[in-house]
Amino acid sequence: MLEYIVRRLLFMIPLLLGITIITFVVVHLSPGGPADMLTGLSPKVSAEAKARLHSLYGLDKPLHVQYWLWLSRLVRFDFGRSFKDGRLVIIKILERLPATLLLNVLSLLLIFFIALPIGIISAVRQDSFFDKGMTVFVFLGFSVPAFWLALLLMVLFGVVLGWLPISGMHSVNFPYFSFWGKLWDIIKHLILPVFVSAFGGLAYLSRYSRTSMLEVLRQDYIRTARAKGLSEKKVIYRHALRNALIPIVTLLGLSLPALIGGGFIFETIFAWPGMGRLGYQAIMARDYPVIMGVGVIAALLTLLGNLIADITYAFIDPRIRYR
Amino acid sequence: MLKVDNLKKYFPVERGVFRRVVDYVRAVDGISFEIKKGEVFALVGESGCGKTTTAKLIVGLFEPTDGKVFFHGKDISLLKRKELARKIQIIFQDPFASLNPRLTIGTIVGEAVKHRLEATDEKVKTKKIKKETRELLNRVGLPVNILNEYPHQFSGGQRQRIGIARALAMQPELIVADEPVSSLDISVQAQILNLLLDLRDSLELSYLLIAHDLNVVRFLADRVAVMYQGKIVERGSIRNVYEDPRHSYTKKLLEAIPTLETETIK
Repeated sequence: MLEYIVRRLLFMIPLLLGITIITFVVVHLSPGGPADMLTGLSPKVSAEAKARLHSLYGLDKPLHVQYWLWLSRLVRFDFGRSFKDGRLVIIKILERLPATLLLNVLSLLLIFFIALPIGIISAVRQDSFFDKGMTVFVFLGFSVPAFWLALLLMVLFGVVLGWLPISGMHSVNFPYFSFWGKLWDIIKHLILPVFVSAFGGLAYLSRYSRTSMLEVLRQDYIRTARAKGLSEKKVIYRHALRNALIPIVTLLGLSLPALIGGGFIFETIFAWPGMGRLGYQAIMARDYPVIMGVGVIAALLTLLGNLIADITYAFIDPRIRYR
Repeated sequence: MLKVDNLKKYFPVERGVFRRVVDYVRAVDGISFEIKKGEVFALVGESGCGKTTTAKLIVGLFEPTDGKVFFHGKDISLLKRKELARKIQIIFQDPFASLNPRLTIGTIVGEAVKHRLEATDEKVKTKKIKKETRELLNRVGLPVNILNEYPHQFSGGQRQRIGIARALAMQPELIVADEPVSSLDISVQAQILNLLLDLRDSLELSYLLIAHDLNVVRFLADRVAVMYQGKIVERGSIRNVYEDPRHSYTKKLLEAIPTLETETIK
């Protein structure tokens, strides 16, 4: 097992290299550069001034040299400085991480604690009123785009009813609140983003767990469990559920990068000060070091998430042993 | 001991947008038979004739459409699932699919033992379960040190033995053996059949054997009933049916038995 993990970790190195090369090239291929953005696309800025900026950022060198320089800094865990404000990229990312984590962990918990029971009950009572109702809900969840739902809810709860704030993580006068006031303030700001980001996932995971559970309930060993004379509850929770959870573990592993990467569009709509918005702003400003920093971390998390899912597999399914 | 009285199971055939029931598949269509204590009674017939449905009706995995099953004079539809499981157990055809891949052998067999033992002192119980589980494994000819291993580590024959141990754990009086050897290699089949006979003698079991292989039936059964399209078309002692078949379907079945005699090819 240990050998397997080490080998998988080693395989990640070429993968990461490939991902960073592609990201690097694509980012530099996109029209406009940091110099254009910094100077506000003003036609009055002379070509020499731009050239000076380019040489300051090292953008005048050939692309492969630039990549090599970036990579040699990266292996020393130096993500460089932002073109926009000159601050360390790693600091900028670390600042944004808690907000994204808070939002996504809450939404993931919500998804798992609501979607799993929905899926399992739907499967156990297949074709019941509950199951059919949930099918309609799932259909809605799949077809309603998150950004549209977000805007509708913002209008309803933020503007018409005025119950909830529509953007950001804190109110303007946040520093003057008491501890409980601060907590309540953050909770109020969290309600809409958490709900909207969980909505699509709820539909997806509940349907997924329903399918998985139905599949397991049809298996012969479930019939065996019934033949033992076990109660239906034991048959479902002891024999069926454990097997049905195996594929769901993969989903959990795959949702790990999203947990920290954050949603670009989503965070931008809610003006949530997280990683997704940082990435979005960096792309808009052609802030190459920040884009690459966010990209590397997202790629690393995706690969680690996959690895963790595979390792958990071996623990919960005795038929799988990695070599 | 077991009395099956005019048992019927119809499956509805649904058609169209509103799933209107247009017809019924008469899987089991009014069959009656009795099994005496210590007897091996066989139901034979081609696939789709309703043998397995009958087996499932008797162990309570299906509800009958009509008719009743009595065990020692008691209607089994009035028994609780556990009560029924303590009297009648089933061995399934496919030893690969019928064992939960995520549970250890100790759990698969031990769970049934635990289910049978009423709640007593937890510590005594755990010890007792382990002891009984080992005895069961020993009885079906498996090593007793496999409690922590998983089904996929065993061969088909071994898995079927595990299935038998699991059935015995409830200490039943009647075992329904639904094609117990048809998915096993010929060489392993004989071992399992001998095990079933040994168990019948040592534990005073009765069997309802469901099979399509007439050689298996002749080896194991005392009496046989031939099923065709949900009905019993012929019944009697093995000798009578094999040597003097009355129904044309039975004759065809008997002619289909492969033998070692060969025809010379010109």
